[in-house]
Amino acid sequence: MKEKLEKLKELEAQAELGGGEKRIEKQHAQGKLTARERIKLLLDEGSFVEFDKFVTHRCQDFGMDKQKILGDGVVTGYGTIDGRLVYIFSQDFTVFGGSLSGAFAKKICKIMDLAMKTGAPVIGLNDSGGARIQEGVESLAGYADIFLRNVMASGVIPQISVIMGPTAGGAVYSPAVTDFTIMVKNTSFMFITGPDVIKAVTGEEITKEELGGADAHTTKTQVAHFAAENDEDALMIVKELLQFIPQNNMEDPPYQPTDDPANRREESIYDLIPSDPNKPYNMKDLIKKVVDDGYFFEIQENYAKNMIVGFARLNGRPIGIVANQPQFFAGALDYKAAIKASRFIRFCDAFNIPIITLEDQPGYMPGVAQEHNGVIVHGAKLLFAYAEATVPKITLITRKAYGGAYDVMASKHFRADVNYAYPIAEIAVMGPDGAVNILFRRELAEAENPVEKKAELVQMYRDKFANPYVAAGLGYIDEVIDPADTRLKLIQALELTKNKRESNPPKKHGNIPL
Amino acid sequence: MAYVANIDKVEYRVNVKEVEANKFEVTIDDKSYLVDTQLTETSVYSLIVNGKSYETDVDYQDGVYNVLTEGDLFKIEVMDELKKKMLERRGGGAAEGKQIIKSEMPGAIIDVKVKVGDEVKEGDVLLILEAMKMQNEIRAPKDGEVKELFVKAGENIDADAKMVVIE
Repeated sequence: MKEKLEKLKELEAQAELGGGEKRIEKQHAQGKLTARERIKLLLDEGSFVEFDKFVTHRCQDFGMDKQKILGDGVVTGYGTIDGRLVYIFSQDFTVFGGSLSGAFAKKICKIMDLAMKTGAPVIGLNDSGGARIQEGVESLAGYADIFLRNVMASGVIPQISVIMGPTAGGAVYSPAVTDFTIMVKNTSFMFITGPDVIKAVTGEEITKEELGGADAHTTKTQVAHFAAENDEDALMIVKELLQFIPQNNMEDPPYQPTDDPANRREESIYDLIPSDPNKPYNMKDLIKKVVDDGYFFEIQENYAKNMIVGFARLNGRPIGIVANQPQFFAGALDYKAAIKASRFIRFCDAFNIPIITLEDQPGYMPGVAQEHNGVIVHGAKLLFAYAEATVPKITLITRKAYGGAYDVMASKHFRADVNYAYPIAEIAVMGPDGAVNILFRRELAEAENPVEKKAELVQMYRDKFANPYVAAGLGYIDEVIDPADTRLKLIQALELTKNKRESNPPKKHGNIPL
Repeated sequence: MAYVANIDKVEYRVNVKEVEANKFEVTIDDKSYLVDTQLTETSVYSLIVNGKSYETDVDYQDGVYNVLTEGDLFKIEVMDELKKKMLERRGGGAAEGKQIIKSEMPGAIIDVKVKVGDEVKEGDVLLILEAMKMQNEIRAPKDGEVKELFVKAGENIDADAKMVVIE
């Protein structure tokens, strides 16, 4: 028995070395950690349990039968983060460049299947050169097996991808399906075809970083949600994110007690929001004044800055915040903002996270680029996501709510549960300027002094319509609130909707305009 | 759970593990204590720390715990370790060196409040960029001197255009 135990220990040590010391050194020299070091950093100390340590590839061609490494190019298993179960796979670039073999894919599929059965998140740490070319179609089959599981698990368990090295070709599609993607700056890349192929085909010259680095994918595309400084930073983001989300779609998100009093009044909000609708303010300042301990975890910070999305807590309960940013394009809705917010809303709805909407926007953004980039179809996504969501929906109109965008942003008409407005709110079909131009076109044309006449009419319109009381009179706003009591009011609404039950008619699935 | 406690600007790493109901193993830096706690009346805790008994009065206000024990008052700030790390990571540090201020969005410059050579303080309004009728005040990210000015009032600019250099 003891002998056999020695043998086991020896094999384990061999497996744990992956591609060997030399390649580990190379990995470190690039500023990257190894697959196992990453797992150790992410999971609670000593909690990691490894699966399939002795799996090897089955390829017999191209001399591959002579090169077998225990565990192949991926480390898989489970462990805990802050005491909560997670499944993890970590691709090992030191083994055949992290390339994906049939056996490699089977290992990943095994933990994904278990994660779905046991209802716990899957975290994928990606660092792979792509398909294992020697294996041909078996490698391709492996990718497809993973994609299928990503899709099946979507909306059942949270899936988080961390890109910590190259991810090219088909390999990018697994992260693209998952809920959140974090990229490490400078060392990670994602693209379908790399700079060399692009140069050969289209003649365009571009570096890997510019083409598919963390900056490109967090500012120009919506492929990644976070850009991390380094491996450690990326793993911290995963931990931070998990604090707000439940283990699976049957659970409520984790409650965390707070010392921040629920009835904390915040009179500084009076000075924060200018009543002049042409003066901007930073919506994030309002969020921080209201949520527990001023702690707001923003997602996609650098994409479509006119729309803010992220997580926070109110009286200990996690919430998803969707807010317009008056400081950027006046908070107007454009196609990018619509896509960003709708995906976030659908995540919250899938995982029982209440949605708080803070609204201050002048409507949809005009422009040829907007129309030709499909603001109609993308704007419809936002409408669809809000209308379909059955989690508690609480809306606060802080200032402007104009036009169709008023309808879309979780209005009463879209089954929002509690709708609040500040006394300075302006809820109208359009801003006073535009409305007066249309309503009083003739009067303005005939006026002796059009400028004076217009100012007078604008003031009349403003007094009559640009306030919350018309909407409140119709019951579209439940309560006009004192801004200093925002925190208390939102917490009350959240408590009220704690046991909300609402469902959509039975169907296979809706047809969201994609 | 791991916490960071701050007393008089000295940081202590605290690890709390519940052994059984009301009984905790508390590790402060490298020392370990077995603590038995009992709330005896509002805000008064009776503690047995490694066999010795203490009475403490705990009052929480504005993020600080005021702990009164054996006639001494301690003001303790407590943060959980993860949150502390997050906040530090987020801090990013103050702006340093030469600052090139670029426009985040396209729009019209409707007012320029500074000229080359002016001394500005952090937070001073440099110019006003109007986009979607909203008058965005572009402020100085740090104290310094206006070295270059690339825009003038009445001009339309694109996103990512250079506006001001402050050094």
